[in-house]
Amino acid sequence: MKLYKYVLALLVLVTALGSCKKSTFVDLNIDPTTLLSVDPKQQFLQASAKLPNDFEYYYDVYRSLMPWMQYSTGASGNGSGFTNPSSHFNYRYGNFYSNVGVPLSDIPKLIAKMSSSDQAARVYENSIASIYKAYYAFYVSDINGSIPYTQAFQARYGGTLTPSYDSQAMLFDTLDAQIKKAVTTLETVQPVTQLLYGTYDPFYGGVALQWAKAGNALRLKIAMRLMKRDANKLKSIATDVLADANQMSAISDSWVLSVGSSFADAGGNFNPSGFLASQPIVNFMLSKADPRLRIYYRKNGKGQYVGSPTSPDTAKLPAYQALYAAKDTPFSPLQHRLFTPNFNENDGFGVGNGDGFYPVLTYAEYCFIRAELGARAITGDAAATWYAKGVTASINFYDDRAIKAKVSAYTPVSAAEITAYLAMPGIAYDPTKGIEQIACQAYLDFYRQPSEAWAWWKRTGFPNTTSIVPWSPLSSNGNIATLTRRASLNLADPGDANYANQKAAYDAMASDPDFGTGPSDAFGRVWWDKK
Amino acid sequence: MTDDLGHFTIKANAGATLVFSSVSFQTRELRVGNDNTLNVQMETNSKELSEVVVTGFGTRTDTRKLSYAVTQIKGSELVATNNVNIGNALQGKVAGVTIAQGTGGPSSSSRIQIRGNSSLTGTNEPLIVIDGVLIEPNTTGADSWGSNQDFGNVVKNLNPDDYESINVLKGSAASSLYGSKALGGVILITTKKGRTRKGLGASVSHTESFDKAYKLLDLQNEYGGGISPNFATDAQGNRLVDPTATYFPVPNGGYSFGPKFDGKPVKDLDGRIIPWKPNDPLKDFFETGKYINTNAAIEAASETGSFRFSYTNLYNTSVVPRNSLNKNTFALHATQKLSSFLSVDASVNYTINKVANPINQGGNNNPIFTFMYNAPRSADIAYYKTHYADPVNGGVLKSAISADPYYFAHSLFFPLYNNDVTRQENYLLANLDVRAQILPWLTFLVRTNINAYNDYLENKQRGSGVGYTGGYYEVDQSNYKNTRVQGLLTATREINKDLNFNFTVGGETYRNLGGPQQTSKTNGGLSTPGLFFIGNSIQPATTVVNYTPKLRTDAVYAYGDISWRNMLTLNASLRTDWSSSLTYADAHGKNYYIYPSVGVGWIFSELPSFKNSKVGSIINYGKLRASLGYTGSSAPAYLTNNAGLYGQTGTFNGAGNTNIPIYSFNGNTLGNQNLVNEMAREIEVGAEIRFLDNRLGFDVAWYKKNAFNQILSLNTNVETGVSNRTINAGNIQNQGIELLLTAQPIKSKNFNWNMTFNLTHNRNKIISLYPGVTSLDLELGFGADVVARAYAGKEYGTLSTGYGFASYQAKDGSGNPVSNANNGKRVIGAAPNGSTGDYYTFLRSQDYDGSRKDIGNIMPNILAGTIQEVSYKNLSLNIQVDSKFGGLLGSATSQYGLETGNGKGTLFGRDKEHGGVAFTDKSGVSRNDGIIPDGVFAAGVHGTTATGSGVDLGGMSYADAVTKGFVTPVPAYAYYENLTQWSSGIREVSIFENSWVALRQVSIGYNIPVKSFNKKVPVTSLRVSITGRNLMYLYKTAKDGVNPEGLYSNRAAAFMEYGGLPMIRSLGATINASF
Repeated sequence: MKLYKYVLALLVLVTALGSCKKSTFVDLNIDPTTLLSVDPKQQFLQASAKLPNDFEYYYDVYRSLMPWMQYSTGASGNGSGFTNPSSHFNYRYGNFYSNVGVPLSDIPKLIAKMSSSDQAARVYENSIASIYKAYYAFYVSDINGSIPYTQAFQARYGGTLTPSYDSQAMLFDTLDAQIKKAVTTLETVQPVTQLLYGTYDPFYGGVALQWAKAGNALRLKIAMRLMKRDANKLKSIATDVLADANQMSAISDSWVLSVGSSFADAGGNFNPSGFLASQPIVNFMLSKADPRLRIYYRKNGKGQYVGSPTSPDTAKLPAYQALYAAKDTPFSPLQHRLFTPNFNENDGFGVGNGDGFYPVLTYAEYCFIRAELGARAITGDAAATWYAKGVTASINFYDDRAIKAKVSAYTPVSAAEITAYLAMPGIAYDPTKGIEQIACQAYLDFYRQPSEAWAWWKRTGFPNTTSIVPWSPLSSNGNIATLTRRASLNLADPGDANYANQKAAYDAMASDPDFGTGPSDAFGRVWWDKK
Repeated sequence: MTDDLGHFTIKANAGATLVFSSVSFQTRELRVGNDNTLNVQMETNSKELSEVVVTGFGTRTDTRKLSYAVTQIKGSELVATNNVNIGNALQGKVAGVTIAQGTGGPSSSSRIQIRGNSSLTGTNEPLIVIDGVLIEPNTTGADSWGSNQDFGNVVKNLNPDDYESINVLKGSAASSLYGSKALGGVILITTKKGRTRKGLGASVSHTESFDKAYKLLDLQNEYGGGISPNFATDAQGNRLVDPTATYFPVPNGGYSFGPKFDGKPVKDLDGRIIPWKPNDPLKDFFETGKYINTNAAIEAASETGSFRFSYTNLYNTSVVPRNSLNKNTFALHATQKLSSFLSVDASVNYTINKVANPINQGGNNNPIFTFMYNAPRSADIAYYKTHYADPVNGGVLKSAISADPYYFAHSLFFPLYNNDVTRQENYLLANLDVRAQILPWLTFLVRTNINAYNDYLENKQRGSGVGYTGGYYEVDQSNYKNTRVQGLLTATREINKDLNFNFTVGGETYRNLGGPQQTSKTNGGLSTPGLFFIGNSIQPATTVVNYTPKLRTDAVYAYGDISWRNMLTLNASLRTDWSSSLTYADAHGKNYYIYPSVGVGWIFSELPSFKNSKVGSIINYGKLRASLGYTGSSAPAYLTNNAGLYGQTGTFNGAGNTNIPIYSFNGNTLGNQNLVNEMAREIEVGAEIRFLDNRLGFDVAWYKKNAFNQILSLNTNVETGVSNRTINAGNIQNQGIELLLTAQPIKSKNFNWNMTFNLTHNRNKIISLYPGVTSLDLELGFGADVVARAYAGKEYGTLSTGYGFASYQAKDGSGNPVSNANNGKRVIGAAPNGSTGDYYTFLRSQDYDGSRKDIGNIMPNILAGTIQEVSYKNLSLNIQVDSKFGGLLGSATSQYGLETGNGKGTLFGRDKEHGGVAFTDKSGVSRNDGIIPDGVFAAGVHGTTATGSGVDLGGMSYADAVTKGFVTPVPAYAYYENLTQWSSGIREVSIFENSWVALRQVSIGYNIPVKSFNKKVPVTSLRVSITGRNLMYLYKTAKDGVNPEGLYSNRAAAFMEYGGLPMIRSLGATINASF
């Protein structure tokens, strides 16, 4: 019976294993690759890297905004329905809530968990994140109207799972105050030496005062949207901003994301291959010897710049159809490397290794805002001066980016070219057509920000078919093809957790008859886009 | 009476004939010779219900005592299917079990679903238990973009040659002892032991089987490449292939809407003169696959011990060139009685499996995909199969557009013949049972086992650049290890004449020990072309090391049964699990859960009053059974402690090509600090009745299984900052009926006919999800265009898409819907992302009114199968037919075949003979390939009048608009392309019901009488057989000739085909000999 005891002992042992210490289980269930916390700079870099979204480029930029704004056309011209809202438009919305906004919202929370001395050293970091987050919220609301903001991004911190929506009017106020506070903080010398994002800030390399300048420019940009809704507020904000010492004054102040050659890989959705230069822009630039022509577009096989007609009915003409189908199509492609620097142009130069860029708010744009403020007498700015500064800044900026992108066989722009350009009829500033000229030059500058071109077009009405930069009239099957003015919004299923908040927000927007026939009517308008 | 090993003594005169019969064995007659010992090997008679099955923790149980359905299959039945994968081999043999074969070649994993899907997130694959070792098959295969080489899961490493029996435990009452891993059912395998005999026995079997690809999609063989019906000619008068036939035009190419085939010479796009005829991919590309399996075993047994050692080599090539599987299996099973007190049972199985170059299941590197999508019917496959490299400079053919117009060299043949992706798996299963007979009625068993798995993948890619520059080399290694230690104390007692019981208490610890997963790869190409080692990298090589998760489950349990008069049996079990994966870092919460099962079996035919009744004389055996079982389960490893935290999310490529690793949130899922276990409950009732001297039998089971409190990642509104949150939620129900009918129409000494029919009907329904959550996405198809969803209140796997046909709804001036004769018709308009030729086409519902639509369900409605076995003397014939009715399949191949004009479905409308309408297109060309789409224009769509002014076509049918001259018919090439292409296609067109009846297997066997041999050849049995497998579909509904069994993954909700393989049938011969 000795063995019997032994066996019973074994049984006890095995049973005991079943009720082993919980701490053993705790240790087993810890994933070695999980981090409990990260440095705020990591979250800032994550948010920065998510600024451009590849699907947004594929659908919103290349297939919607650029052809709508007549910067480009499809490979065989624009289709008859190209101005219709696509169900794929508006990637920025999801990009904000899933990508950009999440890490930016975590930065203050990460800092709040630190010791008070560490917190004191991160006041600037907090402010910089706040400016970036304000920009992206504005960018989303710009075409969506009311969006959740003050109650958004709270789920990770025990907050609401059903955030209410901020109306655009309230949101713009919130953002203005938020940016102003951040700028003031950045301009205030802190008692503790400030840690900064450094190389984890791919916009400004962590220079605090650059962010103050960017914040000021952003306040102006948002305020400009109020032009028709609340002119007084525009004026008071502009006056307040311009009273500040930190203003953009050179293209190096531009708020631009700088990236490496493989960031936007030419093999993926960032690839602008298959799109053609547009006829009205190529013709205008050719007639004015615009140095940006060689930056924006490439020559065709015969060494010429030829644009593709933007109107569907023109593209449909048999003569054009034959040109599109031809093996050696005469139309100029886009300057691929300005979008995807590692693009292989198949021109013998191989795969590129230059830098890419994503403008948020450039010095040129800032100049055009100042010029328009002056031209409209909202501020005392000299419109002509700021206009010329803007054109010069735009050309210099794109020249700089073309060099950095290592555009094949690129000839840098000379100062004389710019001088000559500024003296061209139609380019030289004419106060009687000041606003039109400013808007048209801003439009030419917004080649890489077609969404902003869209916004200026909505606000100023330029360009149009009779402006200095003339768009082609768009005709589709004999009818005028009109452009949309906002994102098409989808009302959630009534079973959706946040249905009530969304419905309330959409109903409130719909109380303005200009909102359109329903949330999905992209030809309707958001609050700021007043008739 | 026989003893445990079957020994018995009988007195008989020499020359007398002894008749041996036993339940579930075929009767044998033997003449008594002069020897005192006579060895009789009896063939089991599978058609009579086995009386003993393996259940619970591998114990043999009299089926009379069971309160639930168990199906037992002999190992030899699986061996006879000549298939690497035992999942495939099980097809149609077990009621309640759904098999979906993989399409990645021999290694590909199949989907095994037992009684539907109990889990919304887990694999739903059953637990496999071999001699007490637990094996958890995972899911493999391509994602929704289709491109992947499927090396398969662990099931391919199992070797049925060594299996005695396979028992399928379907219900929770049967499987709950195995705990959470058994939520999807259990496949219980017992390996062969040495059989008692005089001296050493040996057996050899050898199979050679040949796989033939016999059917591809329905291709059209009338028209060649291009979109123009006529050839252009060059200066020399050569007829020229239309450039739109090539792969390269933006956005699309590869059209097959060109001139009719006439067999006469044309100048192809690469300048070669070829006859104008269609290619034949089956002949031009696919090869004959071989399945060669050799098994040799030696065995011996005595009263105190036994052993069996076996070696199996399987070499299997597929119909795709260079795809092979080579498996070597060594198996040892030994038992030894050490004393009257102690005995051991040990088994070891070691498998080395080397898989080379599984087919890419979709995308440009899949042959069918590339033949359907990238190239026209006229493309010369056979030529490029041997002309893919640049003969002068090395590397792939240069100047792809002119030398490789159909991209065959680049996408298919160069990689096929220059890349070598192999994976070697080393797989060890070892089990040791030590059993102590403490008292005559009390035994103690200690079972210790290990399941160790290591795989080694090498990916060698020869560079395609000049001189074979470029190239790539990658080595991956993974290790997994599970151990299990179990102790069971069992009491078996007869209380009195009428009452006896079995009772066991025990416990175990099961541990996934984790292990490194390492990937090393070259970057930027290979320094020296053709040399494959990591140091040969141009840019610094990268190595990434991850870890397989660790997990531990400890359990204690008690189970047993009590029987009364061999007629009424009550059985019950209770198990408690402690799970590491349900444990939080701060140790809060409850990490254990308890679950019971109970059942009763009543053999009413044993009632004396029944036996003596009139009915009792017809019904030999009647049993009713009922059971209720619960199965608890835990969370995935680490979930409780990593959701919502941080990890590396990528690398930022900054200006100047600097790379900075980024650390951020490890996902957009919100963690949950209050998770508890999941729990499934299953009720099963059944009846088993046998009539007419056991020649007719029914077994019917009804079950209802509900899985509650699943640990799910449910959608939240992204505005909250998370897209998902982890939650305990849901009630998923599977309810169904399984029916097994057995009959023996003819039963005689020489001639026997046995038949079985099985039928399964299962409904998989989502009773509830979570308040505020209406659906959960299960699986994507067509990229992300179609989603298989679980909707609360609907069946599992409802296909939802915004890319179905839009449905017309007329509206009044203020946007309110109004009634209209055209409401509900398909809507035509301008595709927002553009359309080929800028023609109007059918609108997707998402583009028309922002809506999505539900197309139907992917789950089968009915599965049925039959096996017919006829034997005459030594000759036997076995026929298996199985079928599936209901359930949708999506096919990208169908879609691409329609887009390019390669599919037969695109013949309509091409010319006058095929119903085409004559018209003049906008370039002024007269055509006769017009098609008038059957639909109504969306509001705001415009046509042009004769004078060129616009006219609103909203609400008008396309036919009316053609009549009025506002629009032209659509040329066939544009019609089909716009209907199916990436940017404007209607996915609904290629989603269809997938029902089929397959002639799964026909085999003929002959037992060669061994007494005819010379006595010097010590053969005890010799059998030859011929088997045809997957012979044909007697009926199928899959559209466009799509392979009905072509899923690219064994994930639970997979519903898509993306290229895959053609339909393949096998024919082979086997010889078995025993010595």
